[in-house]
Formats: sequence, C-alpha cells, structure tokens
Amino acid sequence: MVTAAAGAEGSAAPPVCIVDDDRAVRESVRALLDSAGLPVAAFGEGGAFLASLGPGTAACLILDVRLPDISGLDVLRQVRKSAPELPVVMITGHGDVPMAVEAMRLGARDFFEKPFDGTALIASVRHALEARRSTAGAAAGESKPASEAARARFERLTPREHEVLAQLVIGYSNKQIARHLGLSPRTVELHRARVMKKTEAASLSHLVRMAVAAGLEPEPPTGADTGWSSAT
Amino acid sequence: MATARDSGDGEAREPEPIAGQLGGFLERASLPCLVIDPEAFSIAGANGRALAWLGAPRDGIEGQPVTALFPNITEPVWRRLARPLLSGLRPSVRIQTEQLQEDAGSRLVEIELELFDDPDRPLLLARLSGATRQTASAEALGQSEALLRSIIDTAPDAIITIDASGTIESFSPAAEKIFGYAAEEVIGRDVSMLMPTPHKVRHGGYIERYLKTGEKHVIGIGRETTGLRKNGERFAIELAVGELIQGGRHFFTGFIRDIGDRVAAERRATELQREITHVARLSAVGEMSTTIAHELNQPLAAIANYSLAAKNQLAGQPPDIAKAVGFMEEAGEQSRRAGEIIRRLRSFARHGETERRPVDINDIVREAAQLSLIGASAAGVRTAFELAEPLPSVLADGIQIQQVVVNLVRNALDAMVSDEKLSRREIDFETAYGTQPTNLRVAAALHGEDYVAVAVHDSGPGIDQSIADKLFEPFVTTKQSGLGIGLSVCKSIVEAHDGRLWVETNDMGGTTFYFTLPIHREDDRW
Repeated sequence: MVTAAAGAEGSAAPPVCIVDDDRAVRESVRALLDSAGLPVAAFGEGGAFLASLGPGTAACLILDVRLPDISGLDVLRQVRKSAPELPVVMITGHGDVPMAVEAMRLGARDFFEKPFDGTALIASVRHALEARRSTAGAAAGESKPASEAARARFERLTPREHEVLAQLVIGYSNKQIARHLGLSPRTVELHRARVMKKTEAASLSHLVRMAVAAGLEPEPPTGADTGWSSAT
Repeated sequence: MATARDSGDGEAREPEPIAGQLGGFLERASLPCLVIDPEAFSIAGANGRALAWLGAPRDGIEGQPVTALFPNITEPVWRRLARPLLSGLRPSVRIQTEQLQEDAGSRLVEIELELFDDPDRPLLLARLSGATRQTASAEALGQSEALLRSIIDTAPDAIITIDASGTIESFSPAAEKIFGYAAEEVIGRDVSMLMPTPHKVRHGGYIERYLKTGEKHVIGIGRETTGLRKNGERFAIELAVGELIQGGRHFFTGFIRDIGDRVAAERRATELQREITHVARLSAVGEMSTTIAHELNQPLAAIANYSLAAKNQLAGQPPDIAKAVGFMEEAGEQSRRAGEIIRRLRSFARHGETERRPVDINDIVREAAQLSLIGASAAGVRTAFELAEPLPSVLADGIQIQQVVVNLVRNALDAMVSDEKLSRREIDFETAYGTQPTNLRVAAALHGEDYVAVAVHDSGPGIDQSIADKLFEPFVTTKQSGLGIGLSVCKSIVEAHDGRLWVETNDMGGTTFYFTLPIHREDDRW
C-alpha cells in the first residue's frame, strides 16, 4: 500500500501522506499533489500509516475520516500524541461533517468535503507546510492573533445568529438546525448566509476553523467522543 | 286436464252486476270468474258465480289482494304468471293452488288466467274451477312450481334458462337487474345477446359441441367470464350451468353472478399493494441516501482531482502528455463508476409494472448486493458470497426480489454497525480464494427439490425477544429512522411469489434471514 513518489522538492523532503481506503480517491490525490510538485506517500489503511510514522516520514497528512480498520478520528488522536507537530487535513464524504468538526477540535488544520476543489486542497497543504517550516512546530504561534481577529468577527453576530453558528460548527444541517431552534429551514438559510458574510468565512471548514481559533466551545453532538481539551 | 265442476250453489245470493263491457262479459260467463288488476294484483271484480262459489260478499272481495284468496301464490309469482300474457307471448296460463275457505279448510282450485283487453287498461281474467283430488299430483306440481318460482324470483343470482338452440325461455328478476333488460325483451331471443364477442359468435358452437360430444366445459364446473349489459357495458361474471332434459328436449339453466365489484376490488388491492411496495423501495433508497451520496462523492472527487492533475501536467514545462492522458482515462473510468451507481439506483427505485419472468436468483442477489453493500467495507464489514452455480431459474418480479435482498442486507448492516462492540466479530470462512474472515454472509442454494433459498447471515447482536414476534408487522422498527414497513413488505412480496420468509439465530451469534422461491419449470402454466 505504501508508495512514495519522488518529490520535486528534493528526495530528502518528507512526503505529504494521503490515507484513504477508496483507491480512486487515493490515487487521484496522489496524481494531483504529484502534478503540483509535492512528494506523496499513499496509504489505504490507517494502521499502515501509523506503523510507518516516525521522525521525518511525513510533512503533512491528508486523512479520510472514514476508514475500515481504525476510524480517521482515532488515527488523528494517535498522531496528536506521537507527532503533535504534523499538520493534518481531513477529507470527508457526505454526511461526515460532524466528524470533521470533531477532528478540527482534535487539532486538525482544515477539512474538505468530497468532491473538493483540488486547487484549494493544494493551497491548504502548502500553507500547512510553510506554517510548519516558519514556526518550527510552534502551532500556538499563529493562533494568538488569529483568535483575536476571529473573536472580533463573531462579535458582529446577533444572538440568533450565534445560536445558528453554534449548531453549524457542530456539523448540523440546515434542516436539523431548523428543527432544533424551531425555525423554518428557509430562515436558517438566511441566518447562515448572514453568519458567513459577517464572519467573512469562505467555507464551512473556514468557519469551523475560526470558531475553534476564537475559542468557541460548542457542545459536541451526542454520541461523539470527547477530546475537546486537546484542541489548542 | 282439469275437470270443471259445476257450480251448483249459484243462486244463494243475488249478485250485483259489474258495469261496462267487462261486466256484461262476466255475467254471461258460465264459470266463476275474477277480474285482477295486473299492477296491484288485487281483485277488481267478480261475477255472481264466483261470489257464490267462493262464498264471499262482493264488498268482501273487491280491492282485496289476490294473495288473500290464494295464500300459496305470492305476488312475484303472480307477476311472473302475468308477464307472458301482458306481453302477448302466451294467450293463457293455468295454475293449480289451494283456496282458503271459511270453516271448511281449503280446496284445490284451478285458475286459468288470460288477458282481458279492456280499452282503458289491461286487466286479467281468472276463470276458476274446482280441481279434483285425482289431480293432487298436479296440485303438488303447482305448489312446487310456485315454490321454485319464488326461489327464482328472490335469488340474488341471475337465473336464465335456454333451450338447445340457445333461445331464452326464462329470465329471472335478478337477471333483469344485472343485465338491464326486461324479461319480455329477451325471452324468445338468442342468449348470445347477453355476451360480448368472441362468446357472442361462438356460443351456438359451444352448445352444439356439447350436444355432439357430451364434453362438459362449463356445465357443472362453472367459470369466470364476461357478460354484456343492455347499455353495452362488459362486466365480470361467474357462470354456473345446469342441464335439464324434459320430453327429449335439452334445457340449460345459467346461474350468473355479477362479480364486477369483486374483480374491481381485487384489482384495487393489487394496485395498492404495488404502491406500498414501491413506497417501501423508495423508503429504502431514502434510508440509503446518505451512504449513496457518500459513495457518489468518491468518484466525483477522483474525477475532479484527475482533471486538475491532468491540467497541471499539460501546463508543466515541459508538459507531460503521457501522464495527462493517463489521468484523463482514470477520470473517465470514475465517471463510469458514478454512472453505474446512478443506474442501479434508478432501476431499483423505478415505478415498474409488476412483471414476472424467469430470472436467475444469483443475478438478483449480486445486483442487490452491489446496491446495498455501498459503504459497507468502509464500515469494516467483510462480506462473503456463497452462491451455488448454476441454480434453476425462478419466476419472479426481479426488482421486487432485489428489494427483498436489499432490505435484508441493509438490516444486517444496520444491526452490525449500530452495535460497535460486536460489529467486528468475524469467523473464518472458506471461500474459493482460501479462508477469509467474514462477518456477513449472503448465500443462495437449492432448498429441497422445488425451491431455491436465499440466506443473509449477519454477526449483529441478534434480535431482541421483545420485538421478535412482531418482526414482520408493519410499523414495527428498532431503527431511529425509517418507516418500519421494510420487513412486512418483504414478507408480502415473498409470499406473493409463493415463497416463505423467516428468521433464525446463527452460529455467529447474529441473525439469519431466509427466504425461498419456487423453482420455475418450463411446463408451468403462467
């Protein structure tokens, strides 16, 4: 399952790792990163990746939340323990947003819903690689000013918009939020659009990232594992 | 045949004459005569001889219903007796019956009925004569005829008699009601007028064939066929035919029941069942929608990635054409994969006519499994197939049987995945490729000589006893979402195919659902 592509950025550079059980997704991400000049190692199972993990074996991890052997969240928890400096980008299928949000709390940098914009994924990975190089592992270094900016943005929201935000970043759909708050789905849509506009969030993952940065601590959805404390 | 008895005590009372032409006729008559109103069937008049003979005063008789004088003949029977007279079909009819007498019990009377053409309105003239006791058997006959007539007149089924040429001899009130013809419109005409084509033209042949060969196709057997009402409407009937030979002549009696309502109700029930089945299928698709969307997003993500990768390769310095072509091929392959998922889903959710044809159960199981196992391997489910090959075909609606398999497999997955701790239980399973750990097994095999059986073995927690008895009832479910009609619909589908659906505990500690379907043999009639 493990295949490292020769990287254009030097054979010594550790590869970007992709873990996804779907062969087509895995190989297409490999093709994509390869075409962007990034060295890649692809894994079909979480266990195989964890077994390979060591000093200098991975520069960044692209991780599917749904895996057959160990769940993506469990892989992430292990990575946070054994390689806390490794940036992790989650990719999710339909209906996995709550899990992706949980992953953000666990310290993932970003998440993308399939099908995703490849250019955005490459940008996110490059950004992670640069951040890692410049801060040399000090993940908290950039979070201070970011959290203040994020907090300022969230202050523009009305109480109702805050309620909708709290549900959004847990990963609930418009329909579910409407039911929880006793609103019509159409009203939730309007609130959601206003939240996105006021916070200048480009995507749901961006919004979640800002919420995590701002230190908003919404209740995790029922049934989800705890582990919020590790999100710093 | 009846012997008239001289009315000896004619002078006992002085009768009042009846006015008009009829009055004159009555008083000149040599027999006791009554005039009967053929609408009310009441006595409209009587001559002196009749009053004397009956021993009744004029004002005690006129206006009385005829049934008061002759209790054994009911009004409907009078109507039937009068009908051929009123329509001019017969000049007269005779009947024998009991007449009640004050103090003296009853005596036997013969009545000859004929039409009296009064210019104002039709009236019936009844000549009375005493019948001798020698004709007691004739009286009994008259009574049994009266009884028979009352049965015929009140029977809910239409009763029609025809002779060997197919000419209608009698047509009961129920027949009038069902077919919309009055008896006088059809009596004497060919019975084929009550049938739509092709029976209309063939019926004569049916009778001829029977008389020639003695082979019974309807007589004593009965069949469902089609009738034709006066208004041209065809309707479903149940026909039973009896045969009578009298004086060397053949008569046939048809008993006809209008089953149009029953047939329509059956058709509605079938229609409704099909709707429910389809709704259940859509519900199953709805329950799978998240998984299916998830599964569709995989090839879509891959297509997007490959396309961008190809573009990057072409934009590179120098461009790597070979790699770009390879990525485009991969993208094409993934779009076919997405298309295949959509195709399966569409054909499954299709609102098809129920159509039964010989099908290979293994094909159905494979197709259904492709659909229902979407996302299963990502959830840690390892599936093994044990499909005996080749299996004889079954006569089935492929989509409906697919629906049963999809339901059973989805239930198995739900049972295993909702129970986190037990879902990873696996047992080693021998396959053609060696021993493999599995936790879901789908099997198809012969079951006895006449059936094939499909089994879905899961390694879930098993079925709670509290729900086991109600498992196949509608709207019973252990799931958070879903209508709870899946299994009950599965059961009706299987039973409609003459198979059986049941559940057992298996050696993995989980549940096994079995269903059987009868093997289709080429010589089966269908």
